Amino acid sequence: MIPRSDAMAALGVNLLIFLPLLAAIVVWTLPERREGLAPRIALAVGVVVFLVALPLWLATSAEGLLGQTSASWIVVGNEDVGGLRIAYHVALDAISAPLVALTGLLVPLAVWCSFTAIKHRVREYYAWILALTAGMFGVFVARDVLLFYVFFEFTLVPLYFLIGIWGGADRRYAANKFFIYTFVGSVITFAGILYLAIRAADLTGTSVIHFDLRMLSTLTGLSAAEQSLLFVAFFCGFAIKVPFFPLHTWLPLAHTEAPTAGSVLLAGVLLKLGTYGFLRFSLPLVPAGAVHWATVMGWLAIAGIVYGALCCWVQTDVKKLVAYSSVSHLGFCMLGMFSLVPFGLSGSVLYMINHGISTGALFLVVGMIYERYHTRDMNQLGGLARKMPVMTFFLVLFVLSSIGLPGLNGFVSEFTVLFAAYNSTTLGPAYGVVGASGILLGAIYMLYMAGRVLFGPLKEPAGTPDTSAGLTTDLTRREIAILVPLAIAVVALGVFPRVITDSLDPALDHQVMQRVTAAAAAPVAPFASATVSGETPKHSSDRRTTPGDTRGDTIFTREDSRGLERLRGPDAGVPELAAGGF
Amino acid sequence: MLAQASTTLLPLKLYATLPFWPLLGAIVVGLMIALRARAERAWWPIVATVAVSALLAMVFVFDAGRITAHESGGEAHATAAQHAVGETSREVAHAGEGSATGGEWTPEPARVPGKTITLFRWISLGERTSLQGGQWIAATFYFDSLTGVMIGFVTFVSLMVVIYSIGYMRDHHGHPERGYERFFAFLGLFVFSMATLVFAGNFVLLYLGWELVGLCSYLLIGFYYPKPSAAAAAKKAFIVNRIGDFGFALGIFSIYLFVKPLTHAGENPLDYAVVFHYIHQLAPGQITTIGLLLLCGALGKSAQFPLYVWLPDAMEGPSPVSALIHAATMVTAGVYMIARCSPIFAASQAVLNVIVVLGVIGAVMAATMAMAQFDMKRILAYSTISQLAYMFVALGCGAPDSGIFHVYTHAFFKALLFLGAGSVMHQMGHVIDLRKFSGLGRILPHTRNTMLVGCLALAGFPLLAGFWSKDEIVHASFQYHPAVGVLMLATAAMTAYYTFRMYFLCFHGPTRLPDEAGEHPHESPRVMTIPLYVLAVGAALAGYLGVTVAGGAHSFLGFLRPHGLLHHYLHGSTIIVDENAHAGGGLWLMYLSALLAIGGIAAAWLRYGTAPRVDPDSITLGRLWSIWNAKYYVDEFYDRAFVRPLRGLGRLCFAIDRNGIDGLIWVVTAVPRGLGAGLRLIQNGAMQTYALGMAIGVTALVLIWRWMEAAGG
Repeated sequence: MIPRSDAMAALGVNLLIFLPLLAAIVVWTLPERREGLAPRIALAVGVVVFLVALPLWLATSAEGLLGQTSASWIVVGNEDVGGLRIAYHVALDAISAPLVALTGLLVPLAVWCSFTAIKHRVREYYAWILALTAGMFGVFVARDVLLFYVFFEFTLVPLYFLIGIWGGADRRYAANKFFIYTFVGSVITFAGILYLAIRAADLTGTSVIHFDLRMLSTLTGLSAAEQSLLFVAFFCGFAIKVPFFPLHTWLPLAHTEAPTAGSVLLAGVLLKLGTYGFLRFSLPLVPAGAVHWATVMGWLAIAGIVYGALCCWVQTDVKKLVAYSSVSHLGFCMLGMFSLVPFGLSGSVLYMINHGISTGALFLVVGMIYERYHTRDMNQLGGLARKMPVMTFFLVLFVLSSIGLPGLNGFVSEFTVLFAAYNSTTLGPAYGVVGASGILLGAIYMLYMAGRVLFGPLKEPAGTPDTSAGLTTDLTRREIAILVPLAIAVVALGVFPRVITDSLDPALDHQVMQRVTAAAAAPVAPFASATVSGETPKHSSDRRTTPGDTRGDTIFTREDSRGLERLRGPDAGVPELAAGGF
Repeated sequence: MLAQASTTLLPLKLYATLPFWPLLGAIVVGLMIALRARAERAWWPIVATVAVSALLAMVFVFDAGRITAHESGGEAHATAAQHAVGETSREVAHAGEGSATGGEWTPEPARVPGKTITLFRWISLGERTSLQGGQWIAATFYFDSLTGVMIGFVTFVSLMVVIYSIGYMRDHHGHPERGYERFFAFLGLFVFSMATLVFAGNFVLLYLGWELVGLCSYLLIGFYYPKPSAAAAAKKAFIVNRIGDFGFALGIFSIYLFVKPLTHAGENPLDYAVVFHYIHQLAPGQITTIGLLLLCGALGKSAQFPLYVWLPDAMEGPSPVSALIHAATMVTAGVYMIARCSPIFAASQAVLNVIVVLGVIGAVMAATMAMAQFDMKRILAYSTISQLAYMFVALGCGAPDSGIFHVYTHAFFKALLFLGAGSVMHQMGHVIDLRKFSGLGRILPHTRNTMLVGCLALAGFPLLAGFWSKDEIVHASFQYHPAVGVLMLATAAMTAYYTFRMYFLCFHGPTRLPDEAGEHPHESPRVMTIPLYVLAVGAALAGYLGVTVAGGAHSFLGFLRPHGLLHHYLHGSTIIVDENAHAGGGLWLMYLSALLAIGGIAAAWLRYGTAPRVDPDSITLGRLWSIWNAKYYVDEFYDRAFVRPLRGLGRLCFAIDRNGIDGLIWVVTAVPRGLGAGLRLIQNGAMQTYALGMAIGVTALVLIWRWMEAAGG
């Protein structure tokens, strides 16, 4: 059901955060004899958030916010004496909506796949999963930068416990490493956010420091040096989360040790918090910094693509291989983003979605194999295709999606990202060439994995497959039902990616691209005001200059600056449900 | 719309459905698998849908000629046609924002006479908000006579192979093999992919078809996946193809990079029509770059030197797959692509020279390797590489029409030979080693008869299909350079020799059977032999579409002259033919090549006519023969030179990952840890305390900074 009114949409958006949070408390406090209810409640909540998130995504349009809710949360001082205001301001727009839909899709599947795998501390487990769900939705819908940060940090805690309690043999070390790594990085980001907000208050002449995303992403007057430093501050938190080479070393360990659901949500959603952070904050908030660092980011991205892929190829643990593939894949995502051309950004967001679907699905299948064989070692497994034809179908499909076979979802994003890097004036063909070697290396390691696990003569450890937990040799109906939605998404998004990009592209253009373009055109402040007042370098020819244009020395100039004016103007047509209190 | 209806027999939209019928069949079979229906019936959705496609293709062949004949009439008309095509697309009609094909269309370039149909807009390239409408990668089909030739033989051979497979994929009692339904589903998917590749109207859709046929090849080579060699061969095929595709993708990126700045609003720089229109405005270096990168893709897909190594291993797949994918259709995609892009390749002589050199190396090398193998299917695989190299030479010599002519005749006789080898293999209990059987002519008479036609056609025996097309290429190569021509003739002689070495070893001599053949091997069922006979007729007569009785400089037997109907038909496509390309070699050349073919067959008869148990060549040629037999050790070389170093690099990266980067981070954190050691007393290890401390610290820092700022300002 598509939400008809904005009030319904607002209800939906808030439901995404508070329903899982509430359910987490309920599940936590269930009496022990009712323990069996925990997975069912969690699944029901998962299905509900999916049914809420999907129509919300379908209802978002290219312009404006959906389901906006704004209320003061923490207010210190007032306008006379100065102070601080943190708002609970949430809404969906075309950039965050696809990621919300992805989260909505993965959460119920992650819950459902835990039914047979989790046997101890069941209530606690589902409570943490639900808490994590609330945090993930919160990150994507937050419109207040500090609120975003709160959710961003909050997601660490549930995952820390999910890995630390229900993980594999080395779970304590993995959990601690994961926590410290990401926490240290994000503290620096926190400092950056505070600095930015304070400077913004200075520049806009208000005495109350506030963190409104719209205000910050239309801010003008920051010097290039400041932006450059702020970009580095944001980088620390986001790049570790991505994980961006060379800050990725926590990821393979965390993935390998995490329970399947944890891996699915970690790869599917949590890594996207980093890339989303770059897209949502680093690019529009400090565009000059982004432009300044773009080539470095491009370097690290292609290094990560090749390095991650090469690491994959020598793994013997299937799960670790998939984990390293994330390092390589997220390199693609970042490469597209810092190509700083419109379809690079759009491809980058598509990459987030597609990576979430295919890698999440790969982790699910690997988890299903693990539940039966209690090993993920490719030296002990082999030739499973004959025994598990249904599993083989899904694994091969997701592998193909992951290596970017045209017609499946992976191709669309991979191709556009490389295409963008190659045609970008910021990066350029050399980056595209090295990045494109990833499509070759990706095929090598993924088919190596599929060949070892699925094909050849049958090889399985003694006493397996273990079907004691109510499993069958091949996938059960429950497991098939978990994988089918992802398989449908893989094909559907491969054939018709426009279901995402039609609303995404204009939004990216208005909210991110124009900021970056302006910054690139005039790297010294005050750049944005120059654009609005019509001082953009005008092209004498009637031909539009586009990112593929190598003749111009600017990245991208356009005479149409109405989008920016819209951005800076009052929120026409977007009703403020609750006016902020200061 | 009216104008369009009067020029074609069937509406173009109907032709646009052609690729999707086999896909539908594959989906039906997929559902049958999911619902666990009986495997016995799995063939019929595929046979039915491929038959529909083949019928549509037959009609299309006539219409494609009409379209191109009509379109080359005048430039003004072409513009109008473009608008008509724009209207046929619902997408365009409903978009209202201007479109890739509609809008301000500049006059059509002279050499792009086909019709483009937009099915839907697939991938956005951003900029949708701007006034002109966005850039799109659309699903577009391009129809001209080259499309017609390709789709005609592709669907026809596919239909024959699918029918043959009904019988082949069963055991001696007629029970379907394990995976029978899976096999047919993959075949349906393949025909869809191949038809999409042929129909594609822009480079990205071409790439889609290109990769999808590679996928089907992967799935079908690995059909007997429990066999390690099959699984390895499948992986090898996909990865070697990906090496080529890596270049191909970069070629597409380069096209966009170079062509985009030249295009006007509404033109899509990935469409064939637009690229070919603007290609001459690019710098020579840019054209060469594009050409070489596209060539990479063709080398992989068409198994050419140095990327040919996957094709012999691909023979691990079932024989119908070898016939269809690895001989008749998929491997010709590279030739098709270069012919299709001949406006690009013709603009760069450097790239053409590279194509000729690689083609000559491939032709000679593969032919020599084919002379020293015992696996019937591998002999045919090397022969395929060699024949494809012939086609490459034709492309490089500026005679892409001859290349396509050879693609078309080759499809018939090579598919026939592979299906014949499959028939032998089926009755010999999956043994295909020529040392293990001989004298099968008496047991498999139909197979023998049809194989004989196929072998003669491949050997270039006068008046059969292979003779005409091969001869044209030899003429063109003499025009390019006499040395190339001589090497082509030598390869032709070797081709005749190895083909009949195989034929005699298999069908002549005393009857010997392997143990696996069972008690009473007998001829294959009619569902297998009838396609063999149909293809044998094609192998004998298909060449006459490219022969005429009038015109032309030289003739055979006084009245049969090259450059027939097919060539005139092809001239209505994007193919660019060098006017002088066919003039080389002189009048005697056709007789010389006929003589060489007969000589090669005679030599094979002398040495192998009695199917000796010890290969006489291995004794005569000694070391040289061993090198041929060992395939020049190229696989071993690639393994040492590329695979192992790359894997070593992977190990290095992983070692760095475990020790280096983590170690570095350990060092970086050592300083705060040292400081922290003194404070350990007040730490209780609870995460919340750390978090609280961190928050307080940061807040304090900010407040201090604010205070300093206020004091300073």
